[in-house]
Amino acid sequence: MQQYLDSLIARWGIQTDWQVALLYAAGMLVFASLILLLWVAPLAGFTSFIERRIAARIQSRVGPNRVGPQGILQWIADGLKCLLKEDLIPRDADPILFKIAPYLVFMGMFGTFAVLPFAEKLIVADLNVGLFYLVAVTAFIAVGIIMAGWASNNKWALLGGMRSANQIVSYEIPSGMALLAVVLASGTMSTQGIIREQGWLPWDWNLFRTPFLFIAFFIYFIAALAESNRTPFDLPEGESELVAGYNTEYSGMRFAFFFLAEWAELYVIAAVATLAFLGGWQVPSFVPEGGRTLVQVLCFVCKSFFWMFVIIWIRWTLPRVRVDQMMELCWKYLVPMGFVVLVGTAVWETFVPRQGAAALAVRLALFLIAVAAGVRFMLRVRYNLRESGAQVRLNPIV
Amino acid sequence: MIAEYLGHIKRSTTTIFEGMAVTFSHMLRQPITTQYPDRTSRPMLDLIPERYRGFLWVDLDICISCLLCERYCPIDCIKIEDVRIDRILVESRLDGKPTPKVKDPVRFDINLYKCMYCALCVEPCPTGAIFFTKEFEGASPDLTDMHLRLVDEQRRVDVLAAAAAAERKAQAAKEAKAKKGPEAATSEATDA
Repeated sequence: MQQYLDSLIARWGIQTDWQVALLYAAGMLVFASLILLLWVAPLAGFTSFIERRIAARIQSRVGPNRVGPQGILQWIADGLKCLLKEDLIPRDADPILFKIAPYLVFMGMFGTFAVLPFAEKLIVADLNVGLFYLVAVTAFIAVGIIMAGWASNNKWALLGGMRSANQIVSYEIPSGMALLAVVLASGTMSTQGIIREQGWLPWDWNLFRTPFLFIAFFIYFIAALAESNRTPFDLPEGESELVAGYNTEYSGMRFAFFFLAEWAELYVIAAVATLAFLGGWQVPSFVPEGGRTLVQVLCFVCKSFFWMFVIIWIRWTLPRVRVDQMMELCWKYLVPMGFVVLVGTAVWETFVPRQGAAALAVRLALFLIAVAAGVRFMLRVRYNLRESGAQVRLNPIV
Repeated sequence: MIAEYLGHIKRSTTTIFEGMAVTFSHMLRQPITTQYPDRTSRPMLDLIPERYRGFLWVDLDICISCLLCERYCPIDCIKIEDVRIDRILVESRLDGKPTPKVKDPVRFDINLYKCMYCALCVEPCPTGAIFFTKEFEGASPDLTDMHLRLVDEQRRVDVLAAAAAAERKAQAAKEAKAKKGPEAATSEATDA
């Protein structure tokens, strides 16, 4: 990309600084749009398909499997359907706010992709305030949602928007504190810098680095679920109470934009969890130089997809919490624990030497605890399958 | 106080852990969906249970045109017109017993879009002529498509011909009886 721009600069004989800067800016915009076209939109669409298939299997159904092989093109059909539908705007709605709200939500989601890395050399912008930018730009989603709720001139939409704002404002604190603990441990806010601080071995990841960061991961994960309005925190769009929440009055492509943002947000959560806690794109050093970037992209995307799967799986496991329970979880449990994690990380980083035997022992112990939890989980799954006497089908093709 | 607080955390982690194991195990099970219509494990007719209430159908050969079904139908979706024919014996579908048949329908219409599959016509039928099939695919762009006319034109002509023949025969027998009647009476009288 940069080489191509440099060749353009040489060919057009551009000398002045501002012209060069302008050309670079234009190049970045084109690059960002390419990511939008080639990565984010298909990713969000494909996630919607995967989510429906997983939901179906968890509920002993089959799910969409007719459009294309195994229904893999279902999301294109859904998108086309939304494009062809009438774009309704209620008579008493505020037309300007109503129209720009979905774009704000989408912008808040899409802005985060600027600092999400894919590989060592594959990132749109390696900002030195990466994580801070990420948390800040996500706030656009809150603005967009409350704008959608307000502009719809509908009491359900307004209630949904207010709930969402309340939820995002509350949960920004624990999620920010959990990420701050990572920043403390890594000594940088740059997303690439945080990944470089970790290693490719699981016990070199931030997740197992200290007991405090281990807890911080769960705090971050729960808070991120709440921030993106995913079940069990989907109060803003609780169907049984609020019709559809803030997007009640939306139809056609505007409605699709909200959902595009929601599903892409899944990837954002998973990618932040991956880069901050799970070693990001770190691959072993014996991977040959030629295919290194590809392996790094695969590594990062696979880790992210695993956490997306976990988020989807949580959605089909846990029921929705009440408003008071949601607030209680945030202010009575996550925020105090966040403080403990923050102070604990600071103390740990000050007094425990990074490369010492004690630190390594703690890492291995935490890793073993996680492995034991995984094994215990598999045993429980096997127990459930055996007790139910149900027929097992591992083949996802039905 | 602290113990209660930590207890809450412990309880939520363990219960969520168990719940996730349950849903994960469900994800590995065989889906129970029947993928109608093109990916069923067996032909659709075999999958439908024996007592399924599909479309009504009438075996006109054993229908004795007693009109019980028409009368019992709570929404009047059955219309029957019949004629007298020669008395014949038909075999009941239910128990194989011979049942006398003296009338044959020339019109037997069932409006399946009105039918509510209550089986009130099936139960009183003495020969089991009217019954539920396993057919259920009734979607159609034309409302008259599901208006069954069970007696087709050919059968109608045949039945009317049979009825006319029966009437002629009955007429002839009556005339013969009327002619024969006095003679028989006199012969009886002479015998006496």
